[in-house]
Amino acid sequence: MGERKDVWQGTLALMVLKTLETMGPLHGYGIARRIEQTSGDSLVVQYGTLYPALLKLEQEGYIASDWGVSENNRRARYYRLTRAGRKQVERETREWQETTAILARFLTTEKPS
Amino acid sequence: MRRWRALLLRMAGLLGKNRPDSELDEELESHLSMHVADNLRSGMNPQEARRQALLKLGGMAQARELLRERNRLPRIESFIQDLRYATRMLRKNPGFTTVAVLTLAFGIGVNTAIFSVVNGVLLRPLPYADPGRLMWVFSNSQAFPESTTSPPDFRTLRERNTSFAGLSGFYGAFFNLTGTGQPERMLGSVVSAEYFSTLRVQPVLGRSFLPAEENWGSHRVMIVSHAFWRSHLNSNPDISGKSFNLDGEPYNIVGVMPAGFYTRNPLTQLWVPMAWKPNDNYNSHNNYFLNMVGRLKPGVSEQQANSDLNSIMLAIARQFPENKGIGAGLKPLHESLVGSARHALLVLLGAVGLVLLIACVNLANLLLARSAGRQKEIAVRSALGADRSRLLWQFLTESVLLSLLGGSLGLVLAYFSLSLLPLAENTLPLITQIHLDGWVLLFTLSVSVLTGVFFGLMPALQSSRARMLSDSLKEGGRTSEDSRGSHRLRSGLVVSEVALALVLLIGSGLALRSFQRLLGVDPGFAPSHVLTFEVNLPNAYDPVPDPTRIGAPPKVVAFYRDLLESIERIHGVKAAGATSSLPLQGESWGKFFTPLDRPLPTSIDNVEHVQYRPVAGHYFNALGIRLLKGRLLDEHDRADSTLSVVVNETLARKYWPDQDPIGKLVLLNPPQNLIPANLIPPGFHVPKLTVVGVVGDAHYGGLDKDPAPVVYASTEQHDYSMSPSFTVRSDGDPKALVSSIRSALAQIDKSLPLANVVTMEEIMSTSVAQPRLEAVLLTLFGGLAMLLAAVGIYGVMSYSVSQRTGEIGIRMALGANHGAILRMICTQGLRLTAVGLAGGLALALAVTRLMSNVLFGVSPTDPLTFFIIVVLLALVALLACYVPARRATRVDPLVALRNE
Repeated sequence: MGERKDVWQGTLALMVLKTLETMGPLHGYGIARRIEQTSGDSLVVQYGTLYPALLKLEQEGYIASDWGVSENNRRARYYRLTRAGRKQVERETREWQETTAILARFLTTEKPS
Repeated sequence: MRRWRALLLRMAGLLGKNRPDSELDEELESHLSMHVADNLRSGMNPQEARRQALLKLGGMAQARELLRERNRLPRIESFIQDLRYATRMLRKNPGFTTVAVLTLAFGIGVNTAIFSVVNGVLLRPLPYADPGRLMWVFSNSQAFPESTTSPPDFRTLRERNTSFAGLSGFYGAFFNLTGTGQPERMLGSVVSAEYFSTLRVQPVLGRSFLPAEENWGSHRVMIVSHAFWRSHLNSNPDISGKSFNLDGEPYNIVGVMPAGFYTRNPLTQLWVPMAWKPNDNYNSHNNYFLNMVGRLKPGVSEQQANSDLNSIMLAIARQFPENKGIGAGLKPLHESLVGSARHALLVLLGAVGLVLLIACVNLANLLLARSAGRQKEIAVRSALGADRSRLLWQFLTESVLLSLLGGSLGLVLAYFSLSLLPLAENTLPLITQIHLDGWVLLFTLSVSVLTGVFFGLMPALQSSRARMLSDSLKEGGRTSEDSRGSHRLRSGLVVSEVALALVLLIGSGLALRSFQRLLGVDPGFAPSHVLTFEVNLPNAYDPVPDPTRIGAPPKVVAFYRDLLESIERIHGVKAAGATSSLPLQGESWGKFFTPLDRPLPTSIDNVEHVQYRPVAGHYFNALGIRLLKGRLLDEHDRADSTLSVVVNETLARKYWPDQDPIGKLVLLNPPQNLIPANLIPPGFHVPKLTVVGVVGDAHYGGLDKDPAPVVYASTEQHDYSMSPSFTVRSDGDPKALVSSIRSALAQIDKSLPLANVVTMEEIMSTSVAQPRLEAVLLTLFGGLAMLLAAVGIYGVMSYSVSQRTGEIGIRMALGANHGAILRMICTQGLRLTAVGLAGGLALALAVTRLMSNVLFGVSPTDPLTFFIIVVLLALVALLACYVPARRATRVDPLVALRNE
């Protein structure tokens, strides 16, 4: 069970980073909604797991956060990508693409005709 | 990298250095309100909007918890929390804490103390460079296995061997040091030139010996100990030109050894090179007195060295027939220094291990009983969300905290008990190596932690069990009846405790019985009122050794006679005499023995060996050795009268079992035709001696050894000693004679120090010091084990009585009298004890065999000891049951029933 969660968290982290890269600074709720929208609502983000993931990324130095004011005048914590975070997005994107490419090849050859 | 950064930041959380909880909460709140606002916009009613938002978040509390966990290090935080809680719990129950900590302090303390001895003596390498390559080298023959060697054999071995990077000979000797006022007797070591380089220890000042200093004439140089340098040279770094008189001859100091350097005896004060005049008897193949130590070359195994040495010994024997049958051997120096102490120490280590195990069992019991009282607290905690592992951790934190407290107190105990070590000075080798060093501290720490986990785990598992939790909540405020499982566990603990205590007590019993047997041995002399001392005669007393002369040279004879006569004139002295070495100090001087009334041996290999003691004055009377037959040697046995000997009972029984030994003729040599002609000095004929008396067996080798055959001859008629031991029997306190004897000696020769003044009783006491120490310690540990077991039984029975109060109340209400209740409780306790005793007996039968090496005169399965100990432990157990049983009889049925 723990392993599956790790993979999930790993992908969640990449999604968070990618979202921040395309959208610029964003608060947690915004990030969550954006991920759901991008995935065509086929992914459900457990919001409760999002915040520890954000905290972890911040502790690792990939993102930074500050208090700001949201579109409808609420105080909210805004996350933005750091330089290290930008590099991390590139690296992880590449790795992810490689992995999926390999997996895709693997799955097509294995399939009996 | 990134991971460490994250860890660091989370650790900072412990100190409140990162985002505060309030901020995290605020973020979640802001998230929630945004979500609710969105939901409202999509047309939900406010209640539903909030519900859906919370659902998506997975619950506010849970989300908060997850976030906090990530923010800090919850495991460490909860550990700190546990620690704080444990401290509070221990402080709240000072009685429990005191008992537990004291029990552990004793258990861990004795283990630390004994381990530090084992560490110093058995485990720690010798204080020389690369000590594993240092070997004890010895000569080996059927009659004298693992014995010392002769100087010519040593020199040949040193010269021809290919196995040793260095092979050195040495022996201990006393020297009279003069030139500093009062003459002093110093323990020295006479060593071959490469001694220090073999051990790889160099003087801190000056130099070590040169090979040329083994030549007679250039040998008057000495190296002194650090202690000598401090006391006699005022720590003056300039030692050039300093000299002292040793046995009347000036020796130049050429070096000072580092502090703490010694090989066998820490009291060694000086070293001199070994050198003898070319024709000296010491240089013959007849004198076996040299110890050898060698350093194996790299890559050479013990077996290779062994065959190397033995092939050299064979070559020597081909050249010198008197060497026939003498081989050589070696073993690690450490092993030979430790010797018999190994077994004794291992037995003690086993004993203290048992004590600790019993202490653990006791504590597990205490904790079990206590956790039963904490059921409600535990139940509440788990209902509030503490899972089982969290509860386990909390219990273990408590028990390890306890054991660490006990361990630190134990360390203090061990520290003070090690200060008693000097009492064991004569019983332990390498005693100066024993310290509370890093290894000992590490041992104590690990033992403490392991102990804590060991005794804490079972109660923790037991009381964190889910079933019990729900039960105790359901039972509400009522005292919960003991569940079956925990009752069985507790009984099992008592059984194993009794079994362990029995094993240990039987061990102590055997050691005590063995010691009692040892004290019961008739030493063969009367030790009370006897003073002994030693005098070293310098070579000037025997300037021209003459092998054909009968008995001691005139100057030595005169010295013995004058000193003994003037001592016997002292008021209060009944008799005085002298010999080469006293009873209980080892079998030191052996001689060939040829009774002439039997067929003579045809080869040197078949010649008998006996112990030899030269005597002067009234030696037998002074020591109280009984005359059984014939007469004693006295002042009439002089060089010009018939050569006479007295034999001991063992010798008489061995050689003349059915005959009268008086009048038999014997040789203290092989028959003349078996001695190689080149060894017989011109004009020398092997003297015949007549047996004139038989005396009782005095134990020379030690009380635990059967007496060997001994021949006594007069100093004036046969071989004599230049370092005699004197014995003086007084009619009062023998120590009161010391000053008169000292002045009597000074009147004869004021350069001679009176050395090693001890009473015969002290010698006896020293000779049994090791078994006594062993018996005392084992009895102490056994007593501790018994006390712990009794406390354990008492605790369990008391607890059981308190649990059964209601039942007892009903029984009494139904008419059971006090006797019945008493019987019921005691039977319950004794049933457990009986099971424990049975298990312990089986265990003891298997284990005490390991003690056979340290027991004397008693079998490791001695039925009487087993019986007495079983009865003793059963009685103690009965007492431990009786007290709570008595309390049970005082239960007031009304009160008991009302509580139900």
